[in-house]
Amino acid sequence: MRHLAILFLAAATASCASAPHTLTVSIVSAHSILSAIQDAETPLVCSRPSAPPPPACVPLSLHHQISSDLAQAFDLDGQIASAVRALPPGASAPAFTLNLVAHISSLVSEILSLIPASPSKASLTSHLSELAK
Amino acid sequence: MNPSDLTALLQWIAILPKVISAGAEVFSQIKAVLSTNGIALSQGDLAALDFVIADAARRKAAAESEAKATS
Repeated sequence: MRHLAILFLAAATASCASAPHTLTVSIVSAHSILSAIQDAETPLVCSRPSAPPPPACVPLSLHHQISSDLAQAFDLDGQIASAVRALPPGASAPAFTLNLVAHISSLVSEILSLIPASPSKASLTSHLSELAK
Repeated sequence: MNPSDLTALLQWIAILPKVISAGAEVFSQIKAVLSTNGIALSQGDLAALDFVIADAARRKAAAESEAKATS
């Protein structure tokens, strides 16, 4: 899990001080990671037709926590994209975006730790590693 | 608009219909377009950021709804 969080952080922060284009690629990568988690976790909630049987499914109480974390992460994600969108030509990303990225990274780590181990989770983490490259 | 910007914009127009209804898979295509067009991508970058801003808002709302789901 830590490995993935590091990949996420690296993808999102690799170029905060460099060209907005490269930073945009990093933002798209970070957004894709959050989106993949949301798309993969929602069908895993216990009692939903698409969910695997316990203990591989996500209990509703954990789903609430994961969804709350995802809502926070997407809010920060949008804030970073808006900040970069507003940069004047030639400017570097403002320093506060690094703090937001670090916060998203910690949320991703927490979310992944809450999803029970299962083949679906293994597939998700493998996919996320690809997205973070 | 310089030629590389125009190329990026045309590629975005080709991808956008997929983006509207797609899940996370489409982002690998977005990333590929951005990555292969070099540094001068102002139009493509702005389109990508606009999409991320709008999609993040949509997904935030969905997550807030799921945080209150009863089943």
